[in-house]
Amino acid sequence: MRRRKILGLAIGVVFIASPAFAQQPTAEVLHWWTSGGEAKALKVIHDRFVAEGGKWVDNPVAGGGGDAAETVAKTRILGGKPPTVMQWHLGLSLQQLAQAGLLGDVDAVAAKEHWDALLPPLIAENAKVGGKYVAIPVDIHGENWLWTNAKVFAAAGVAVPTTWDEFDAAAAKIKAAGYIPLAVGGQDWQETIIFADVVLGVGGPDFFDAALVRLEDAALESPTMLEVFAELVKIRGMMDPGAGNRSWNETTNLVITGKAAMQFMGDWAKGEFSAAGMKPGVDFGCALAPGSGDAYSIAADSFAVPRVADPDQRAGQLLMAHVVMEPETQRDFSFAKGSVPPRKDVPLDGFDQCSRIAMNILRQSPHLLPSLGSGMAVPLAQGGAISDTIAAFFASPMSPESAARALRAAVAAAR
Amino acid sequence: MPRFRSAFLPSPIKGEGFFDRYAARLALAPTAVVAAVFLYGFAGWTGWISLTNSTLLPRNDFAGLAQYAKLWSNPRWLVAYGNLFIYGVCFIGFCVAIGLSLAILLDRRVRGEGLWRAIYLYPLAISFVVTGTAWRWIMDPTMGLQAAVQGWGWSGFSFDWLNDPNRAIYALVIAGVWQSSGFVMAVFLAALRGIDDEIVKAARIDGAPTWKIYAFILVPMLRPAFLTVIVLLAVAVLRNFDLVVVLTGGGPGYASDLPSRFMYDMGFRRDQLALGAASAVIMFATFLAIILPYLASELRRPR
Repeated sequence: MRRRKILGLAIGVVFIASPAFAQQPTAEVLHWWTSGGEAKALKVIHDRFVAEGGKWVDNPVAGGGGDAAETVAKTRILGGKPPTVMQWHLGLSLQQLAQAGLLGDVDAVAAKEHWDALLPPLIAENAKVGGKYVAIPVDIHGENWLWTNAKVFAAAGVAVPTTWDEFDAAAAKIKAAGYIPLAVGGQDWQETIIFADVVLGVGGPDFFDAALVRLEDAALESPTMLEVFAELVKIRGMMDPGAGNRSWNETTNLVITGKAAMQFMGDWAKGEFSAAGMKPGVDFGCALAPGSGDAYSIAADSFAVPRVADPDQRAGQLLMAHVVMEPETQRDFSFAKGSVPPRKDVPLDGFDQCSRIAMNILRQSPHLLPSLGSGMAVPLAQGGAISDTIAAFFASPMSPESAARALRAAVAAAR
Repeated sequence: MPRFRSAFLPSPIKGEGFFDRYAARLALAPTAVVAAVFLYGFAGWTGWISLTNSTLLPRNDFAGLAQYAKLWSNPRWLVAYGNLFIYGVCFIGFCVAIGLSLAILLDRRVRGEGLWRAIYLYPLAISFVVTGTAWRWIMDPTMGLQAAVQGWGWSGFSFDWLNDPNRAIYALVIAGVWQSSGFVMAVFLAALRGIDDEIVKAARIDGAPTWKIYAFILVPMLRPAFLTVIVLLAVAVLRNFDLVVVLTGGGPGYASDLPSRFMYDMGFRRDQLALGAASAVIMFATFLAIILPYLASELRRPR
C-alpha cells in the first residue's frame, strides 16, 4: 500500500518536473494584488493570459504595500531563481536592477506594438532602461486629488476650492459650521502627499520640478518654499486630535461619514467612497488639488521582467507584455482597481468622471510629474528623507524657515 | 560556567565506546551548524554590508565607515536611538516592578489564584499587533479613554499622549508593559514556589514579619529569575517593531521611532541597504555592551 503511494508520488513528480510536457508560454507572476478590488483587477490579466494560451503560476506575497513582495523578488533574482514577471513600482530601482544585469526586456513586443506612441512620455521613460522596455506598465495612480463631501460643503455654503486662498476661506467657513475642514492622517506618507500638493499648487509645475524632481538646493530653500510651508502651517492647525497614526482609509472615512469636509489623497481613495455607496459628482467630489492647473503627479505599477533562461518563461514574458497592453485588458483592469490605464488610446466610455479628468490630463497635459513617493524621479532614499522632515514638521511647531532649512539638509544628507 | 559548558564536553557517563562519549555532541551538531550559518554567518554578512555602499542590492564595494557617519548625522536615527533607552529602561523597569508585585501577591495563596494568574497572563497570548491596535483606540483622544472620561463629565480630563511628541514613547511603554508584565509575573511566581518552605518557616520562627521575609530573603533568592527576565525583556525591547508600527507608526513625526523600525525603513523600503545594516550593527553592539557585562557578573557569581 505504502509503497504504491510512494511510486505514484514519484511518477507525479516526474510528470510535473519534466519540461517535455510543458512547451507553453508560462509565467510565474509574483505580485501583491491580494485585496478585493486588486485581486479582481489581476484576474482580468490572468483570464486574458490564459485565454491566449499561457500558463499562469500565481505567487502572491501580501503585505507592506509591496515591500514584502519586492524583497522576495530581489532575493529570488539574486539567488538565480527569478519569477517570470514581478509586480514592481515603475521607477529608478529598475535601472539599478538592469545595470546589475538582472533584467531582461520585452522590446520585441514593445517595438511591434508601438508602445512609445501609446504611452505618456513619463511612463515610457521610466519603463525603459537603455532604450529597452524592461517593465510592462499596468496602471497609473494620481496623487494630487482633493476629495470632498458634497453634503458638508452644501451645509457650510461653500464651493470646492480651486486656489489655496479659496481653500483657506472655505476651511474657515467649514470649521465655523462645526465640521473638521480637512481630514489628515498623521502618517509620514500621507502628510507628504499634502506637502507635494501644496508645492504643486503654490509653486506651479516648474517649481515642483525644480524642488521635488531635480531637488535643487536653491528651490528647496527658496521664498516659494517658505510660502508653501506658510500654507502648511495653516493646514497643520486644521488637524483634529485623532489624527495621530490614522490610516488613510480611516481618514477617508471621516469624509465619507460627513465628519470632515475634505481630504488630500491619491485616487485609490475613490474605492472607499464607491464601497460606501456614494456617487462621484453627487455625494462626493473629486477635483485636482487647488492650484494644480493641468499638472498631474503620478505613480505607476508595472510588471518587471527579470532575465530568464527557460524558453517557456521567455515566451511567457512576451505574451504577458502583449496581454497587459491590450486596450481591453487595460480598461477592465482599471475599472476593477480604480486606477487609469497607461495606454492613451483606451476609450473613455464607462469610466467615471474622476477617471475621465485623469485620462484627459494624461493624454494632453505637458505637465505630468512623478510623485515624490513613486521613486520615478527622486531616489527613495531622498524621497524618504523628505517625508521624515515633513512628518517632523507636522508633529511640531516648526517654523517655515526652519522647515525649509531642515528639508534642504535632509536631502543633502541622503545623497 | 559549568552548566553552560557541560553539553560540549564528553559525556560524564563512564566509559562505554564512541557513541556514548560523543552522543551529546552529535545531537547538538546540526543545531550548531544551522546557528553558525544562519545566525552568525548572516550577522557577519550584515556587518560587511554596513561597510559598503549597497543601496537596492547588496554590493561589495568597501566604503569604510561612511554609513556610520551618515547614521550618526541622521536626526531620525538619533531620536530612534535615544528612544531605545527611554523605552528599554521604562519597559524593563515597570515590567519587573509590576510582575514581581503581582507574583508576591499571588504567592500569598489568594483565593482563586488560578483565575488571577490566567487574567494577568492572558495579554501574553495576544500578538503585539492586536495589543497595539487596541491601545491605539484606547488612547485615541477622539474615541478612547479621553472621550469617555470627558463624556462622564470630567471635561478637563486629557489623555493625549499619542499626539504629543514628548509623550508618545511612553504610550508605547504602557502598551508594552501591559502585554509583558504577566509573563514576568509567571516567571517570578514559579521561582517563588521553587523556594524551600523550610526557609520561610525558619524565618517565621525567628519572628521576621512577612514583608521582611520577602524583601531580605525571598526576593534576593530570585536572582536567577531576574537574570532570565531581564535578558528576555531586553531582547523584546530590541525586537519591538510591530508594536511601534501599529500603535504610533513612529509618530507624531518620528518622535516615537525605534531603531528596528528605522532599520526596516532604510533597508527594505528606501533602498539604503547599507545604512539599514549599519543601524542593525549598532543595535546589536548596544545590546551586547549592556547585556554581556550583566551576564558575566551574574554567571560568575559563586553559588
